[in-house]
Amino acid sequence: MINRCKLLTTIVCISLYLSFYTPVQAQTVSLSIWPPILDVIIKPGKAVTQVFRFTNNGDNTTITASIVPFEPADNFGHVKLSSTPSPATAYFSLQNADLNLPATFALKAGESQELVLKIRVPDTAPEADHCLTFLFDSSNLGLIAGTGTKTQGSIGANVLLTVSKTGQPVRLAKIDSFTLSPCLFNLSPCLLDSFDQPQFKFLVKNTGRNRFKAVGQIDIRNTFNKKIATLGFRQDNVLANSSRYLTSDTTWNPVFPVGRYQATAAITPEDSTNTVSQTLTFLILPYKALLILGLFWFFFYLIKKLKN
Amino acid sequence: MFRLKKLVAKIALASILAFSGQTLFLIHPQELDSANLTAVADTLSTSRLSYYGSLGVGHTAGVTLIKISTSGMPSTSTANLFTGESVLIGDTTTASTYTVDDIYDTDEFTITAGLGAGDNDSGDLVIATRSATHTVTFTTASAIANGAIRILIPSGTNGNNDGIPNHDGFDFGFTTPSLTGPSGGGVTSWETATATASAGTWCTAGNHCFEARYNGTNNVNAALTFTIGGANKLINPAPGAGHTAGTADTYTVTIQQLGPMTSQYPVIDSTTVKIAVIESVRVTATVDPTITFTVASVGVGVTACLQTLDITSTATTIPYGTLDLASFNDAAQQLSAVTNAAGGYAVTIISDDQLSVGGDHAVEIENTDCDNENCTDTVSGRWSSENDISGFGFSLHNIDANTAPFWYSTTTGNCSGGSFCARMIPSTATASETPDDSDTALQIMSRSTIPSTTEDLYVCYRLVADTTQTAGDYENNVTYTATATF
Repeated sequence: MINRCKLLTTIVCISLYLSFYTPVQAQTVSLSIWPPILDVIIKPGKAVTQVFRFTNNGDNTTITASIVPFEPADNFGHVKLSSTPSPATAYFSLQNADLNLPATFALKAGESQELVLKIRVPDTAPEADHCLTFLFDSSNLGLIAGTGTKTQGSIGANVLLTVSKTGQPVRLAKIDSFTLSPCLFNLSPCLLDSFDQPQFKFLVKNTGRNRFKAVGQIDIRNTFNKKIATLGFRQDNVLANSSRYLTSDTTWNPVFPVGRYQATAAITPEDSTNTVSQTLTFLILPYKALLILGLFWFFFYLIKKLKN
Repeated sequence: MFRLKKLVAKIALASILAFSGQTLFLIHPQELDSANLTAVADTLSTSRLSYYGSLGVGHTAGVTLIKISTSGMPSTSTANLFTGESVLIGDTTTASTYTVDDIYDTDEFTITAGLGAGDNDSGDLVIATRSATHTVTFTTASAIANGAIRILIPSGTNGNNDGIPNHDGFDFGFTTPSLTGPSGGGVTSWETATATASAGTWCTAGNHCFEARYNGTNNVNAALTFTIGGANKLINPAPGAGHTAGTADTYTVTIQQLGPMTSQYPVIDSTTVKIAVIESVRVTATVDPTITFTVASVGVGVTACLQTLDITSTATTIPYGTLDLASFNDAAQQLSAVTNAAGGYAVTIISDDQLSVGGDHAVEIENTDCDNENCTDTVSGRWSSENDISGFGFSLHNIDANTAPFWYSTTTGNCSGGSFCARMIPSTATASETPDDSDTALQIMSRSTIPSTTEDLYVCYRLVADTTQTAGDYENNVTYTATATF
């Protein structure tokens, strides 16, 4: 009887243990890097160093650091790693005594590793822009018994390198498009409702051979040509031969705007005087409210007429 | 002789009696009319010292790095200068206003625009005024008919109403300070308050005078407020002689209640209070821009992409193990990304190939083409029912991410009518399966601004092995890459 009781107790305990399992979410690959972007203009024959601090916030791992070229993935400044070799990767080396690129090192949970990246541009290097990513791959040491996928987490810091003999490369910009939404039926000039939030989209193209930071703003004027708002652009990088949508740090939130407005967007590539601008004329009316009022009036008129 | 003695005795007795009477007066003295005002305070809207320094040597027109002279002026360092403040630089007649861009070190700071020609001489003034409203509160001690309230605020000795800070008192400014005199207090009416700079009419040198006259008799214990400042304010002093940074300079303010004009406004009650002015503390801290990316395991039984997961993933593997044939095998990983870089971040996914036995890239479980054979690595498709043909694919489940190319819950286009909208995993392999050849990594989460918090999503993997699938352990590698926006 006692043995049966013990057996029953054991079964109940095991059953309860198995029933109340907790989903496993403990293991992580967690990588952090500083700085996330490095912006360098350098003359041929010169060198520059930058410390990158890499932190492993996850489990123990092995890291491989390398320099990989990238190209713009879209018009928003996102990165697409490229498999096309870049001659600029040869400019990079590590100053750490025990590491060479590509560098592999073990990093325990919570540990950081500082990597002193040296960029030395040869005397004979041509003037050009180079877009590269200092990429850190965590090794996928996970063993799979049976079928499965090994996953690997990587993190990259972007390096924008401009080789220039003068240090003042020519920077040229062109406005690809300057639009406003939501426009009624895509009318021209754009007609917005007074209760809609006007959204400006500004796409700028770098027509030069070197990247630049776009400095500029959108000035908005009302019917009386009085400047009523200025929306400054964030100073984003626009790579050579690519376009990028510029983002404003602020939004225009007018209180019941009505009338004819003009928005002038102007940008100047940093360290240049090559300003480009474009003006957009648009109308803002409470047309939705007017339409509803018109319908009410129409139905009221119709009912009145039918009664008569 | 006796008479003389008697006379002396009488005089002595009379003297004693007289003194005794005076003693009685001393014991019970008659009350005087004068008393102290109580609950007196002068509250400054800012107690920051003004800045009054001069340019060091070696400035040329157009420079933005300004070096301060470290001796001979009230302000001899950049302490008490702050980023974004306006400073007047130049001589007293042609000085221009500049904006402080940054504090470089203890005697150098930068300005946002180049120093103008004429403002770059050694010894040219560097001035940043700090003006304060004085709110003087007090309680009357006496009932005085037709009197006045007077506030005396220390002025400097010289140039105390020229708009330039003084090292020994408050400057009156170019424009008479705005005043709001007391109200109430039981009087019949208050007259408009007046302000007179030091040494002006009826105001002795050494203090600026602020007066509010009234008609009628005030109440005893009337709580009154006299505000000096508003649109126009007194200018706070610059550091005094021998000033030590971090130690306050103190000044004495006098508050008086005066008698009636017919008696030439005698001081009846008077109280002094001390006020202190000191440098503000400059707090500096640097927040390094970083990007952090995390891959986390998700356990069996968790619901992701509306599926109850069959397999517990790890941070580095999706260990399907022994598969259930002709059925969906679901697993997931959780990705998290955050950055304080201005442009945001992006996370991409790419694999090295389809699942193949031992990773040999030969015997493979093909990437799924979904229920209607219409999904690729760039086009989503419904994959809710077809579990009798081998395939491997994935979907995305937004937890709190900003942007993703598609979601498991998408029900438009090729995903209409389904509950699991899926794609092939893009692959770097060459022509292993059309169109799965040398794909571009797919951006699965991104943001073009600084996220307010860590953003997360589930990557949901789905694998089907049909009953005729060649036996073996199938493997491939998937890489997630997080980068900041350039």
